[in-house]
Amino acid sequence: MTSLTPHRADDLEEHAPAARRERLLLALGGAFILVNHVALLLARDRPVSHLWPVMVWALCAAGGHALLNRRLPARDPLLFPLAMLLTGWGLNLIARLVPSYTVRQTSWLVVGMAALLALTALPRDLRWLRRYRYTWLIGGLALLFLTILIGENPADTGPRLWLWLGFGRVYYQPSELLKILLVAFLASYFAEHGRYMRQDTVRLGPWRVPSPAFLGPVLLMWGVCVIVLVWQRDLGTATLFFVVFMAMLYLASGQALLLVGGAVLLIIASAVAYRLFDVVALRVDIWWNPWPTAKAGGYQIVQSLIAVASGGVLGQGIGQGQPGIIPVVHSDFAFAAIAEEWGLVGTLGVIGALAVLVVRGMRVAAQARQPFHMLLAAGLSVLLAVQGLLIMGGVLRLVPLTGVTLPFISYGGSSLLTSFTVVGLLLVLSERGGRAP
Amino acid sequence: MSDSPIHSRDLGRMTLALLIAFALIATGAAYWGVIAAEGLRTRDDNARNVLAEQRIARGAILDRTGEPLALSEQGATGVYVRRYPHPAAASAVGYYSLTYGVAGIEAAYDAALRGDEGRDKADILLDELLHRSPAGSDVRATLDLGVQEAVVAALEGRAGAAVVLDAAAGDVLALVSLPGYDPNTLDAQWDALAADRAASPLLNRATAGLYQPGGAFQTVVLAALLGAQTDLSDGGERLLSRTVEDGRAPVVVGDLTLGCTGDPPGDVLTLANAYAYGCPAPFVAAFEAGLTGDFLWERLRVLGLLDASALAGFQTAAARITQPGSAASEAWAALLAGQGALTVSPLQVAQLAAAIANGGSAAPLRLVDAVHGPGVSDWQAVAGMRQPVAMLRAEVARALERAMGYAAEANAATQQAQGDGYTLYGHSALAYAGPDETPYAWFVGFARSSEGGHAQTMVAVVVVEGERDPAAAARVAGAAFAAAHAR
Repeated sequence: MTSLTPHRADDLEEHAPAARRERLLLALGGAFILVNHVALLLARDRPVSHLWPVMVWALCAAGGHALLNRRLPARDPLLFPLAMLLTGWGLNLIARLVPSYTVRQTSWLVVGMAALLALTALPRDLRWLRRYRYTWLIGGLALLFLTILIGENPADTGPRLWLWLGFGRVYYQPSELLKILLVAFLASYFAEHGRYMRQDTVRLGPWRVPSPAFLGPVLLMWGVCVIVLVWQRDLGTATLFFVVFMAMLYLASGQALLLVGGAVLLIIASAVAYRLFDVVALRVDIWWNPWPTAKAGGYQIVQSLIAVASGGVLGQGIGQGQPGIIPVVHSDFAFAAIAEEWGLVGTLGVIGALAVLVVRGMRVAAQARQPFHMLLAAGLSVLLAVQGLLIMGGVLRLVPLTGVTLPFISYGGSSLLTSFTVVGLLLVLSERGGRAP
Repeated sequence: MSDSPIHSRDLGRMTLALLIAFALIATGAAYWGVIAAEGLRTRDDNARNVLAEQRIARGAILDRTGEPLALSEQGATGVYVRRYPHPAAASAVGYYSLTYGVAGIEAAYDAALRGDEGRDKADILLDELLHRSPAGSDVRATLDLGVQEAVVAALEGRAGAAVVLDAAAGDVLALVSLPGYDPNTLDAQWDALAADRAASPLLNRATAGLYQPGGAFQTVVLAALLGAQTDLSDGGERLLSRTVEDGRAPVVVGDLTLGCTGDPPGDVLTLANAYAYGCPAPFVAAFEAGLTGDFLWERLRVLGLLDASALAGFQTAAARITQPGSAASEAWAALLAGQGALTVSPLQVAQLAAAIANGGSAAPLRLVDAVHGPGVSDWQAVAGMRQPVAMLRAEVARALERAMGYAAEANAATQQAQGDGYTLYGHSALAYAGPDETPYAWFVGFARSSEGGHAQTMVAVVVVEGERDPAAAARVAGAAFAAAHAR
């Protein structure tokens, strides 16, 4: 708490309009979540006592808002309400799709909220994250390695990407933590070497690219991460890492050519993966033409599209559609369930909320004063954006389906914790960026 | 900012790229959710359609006495299950399957049964918005379960078809096709039913089965011979009592040798005797008695034998044939013997018999007479064409009735349809079909009763497959008449 500066009265006053705006947005989000939850109880004949997740949500929102007012008075006023809106929407959806998971998901909301607030209590320059980048990343990698040895799957089938936390049926997915640690590592590394990356370039035909001397270590660390993920068949996260890496490399080097090269590499990697991994070949084939196998391999995606179609413009209403027809709808296909029950209006709402969240994150980056903070804010924003784009695009058959979660909304504790950590870091960064020098 | 490794221009470009990607996702959501939605929603594998269907309180189908033939019962999960208390009525009632669609009355009155009829657009829209399942209308069939079950029982599991009509109203009292199916277990047995090509249990033989008429065609030829007479003021007596040399002589048509179905008294027969005992010779030689091909063909058309009969919602069939040339004497002989290219459905023949019983005109056939909407106090008569269709001159019909009345008294096989309380008019015949010359027994006739001053005429047409004894068909008709008379 040493870095916390006591606030002067005029300081709080200066930021009062922003705090009011955040409060208003939280209230609006809370009203939306409450109305939907009441509608769900009516549609499903559930007792009023089932409103408790909304109460927990409201306590988290109110408590979080109050604490953030004290610790980060100059924060971005949109980040927290948007994150809470999407999380509350996710709670509605889980209470509707798999009521038995509501307790777990709500508990993870409390854990995520605690993590977010804990971050605001840490030194705000985030040196703890920047200075020990190798330690953090290797620690994260070690956890990921553990999943190869003692990994489990809570569903007992599928890739073993989780670690049992030693009590109940509580599991953690280390690749979720690794997402943040990798972005932090890249931000820290590029921030330190960025200037050299721009100056010390080598010619590659008509183009100039950063010298291998600077790219070598980061490529190595990143490569290990991706190889472990591919080993674990967590190809969605591997793709996510690749895209985030390319985006951060572009921001650090300013070389658009690297993006072209990255895209070419991604296509080559996809072609190789298509040949090497049956699961990749299957997913790509299903994506390209799911209709002939609509009763077998293409079932999930075809049913997902039918669910989107059933929603139409206004949707069927919460609890009134049949999204349960899609297998594992609560994690991979949460977006399709939203499309069915809230319609196009709902999906545009989710897309819009995520897009605004990402734009605000990029704004935090633009206003940052340290290269590390800039790259970290931009990297975390791109992480959220690409993850959302990958799964929404997958559900809508715009890209092959990758098993990543829809941030804040999909069922999954590790994912929710990661999303809250990202928002927590962005809030901390926005406080520094938004302050007058 | 000058020493910053990041240009805000690059951040801006990255943000723009991400926003474009989000816009693409929004476009994709709009495409599948609105533009391509219709095609996706109507796909067979959209289980929502089945689930929505299961929530419809589909109306009941009742027989004319109010006995339920089909009804929907709600299970614990709110899902409705269709139940058929009397599987014997299946060939009329049909089936309602989420997998295999609808047939019979279930198909003909599907819109009324599922509640799509009789609601205005605003109600439909409101119901859809509030996810209220529509309640369907009940449908009252003209079918008489007692008659239907009596016919099924009398067929004793044999393959065949029967149509029983109330001649004046055109009401179908029984519509039987065997072998059939149990609509309660249709989904489970569909594959076996559909694969059984020999027995064809899914084919409705009464409406769409095309049978060789054989000797049953004699009624048609007799109608044409009578129709060719300009003066029938004697009731056709002159023609019917005309003697025919070698009247009981066998007739050879192709590989078949056709004889009488009964044992006529003596060698010299009147035309009425030949008809009564089913002797083919005078009918095959009808052209020698003055009938022409063109005249006969025109009669076939007027009697409805060249077109499928109309029965709402039922698939009906007619033989697709063209008139033989005037020189094709063999084709004409086969046709006159009922062993030619012309095949007929029991429904077509029943309508002809009804016209004979009705003085020459036949009421349009119907299987449903009223619909009862939810929240409506009374049954509403089903709208439809009720104007009788003239098929025969009244004198021709009367003369045919005389011939059939005489046949019912004379022929021992036809008498099997006789019972207490009604006067029988009928004709028994045999037909042969296919390369193995499978025999079919026919009965075509009607029964008049006038108990308590209430005149009623029941028509019955029966075909029993694989049967050489014409009495077998007459016995089934007798069971139908007895059941109809008893009600």
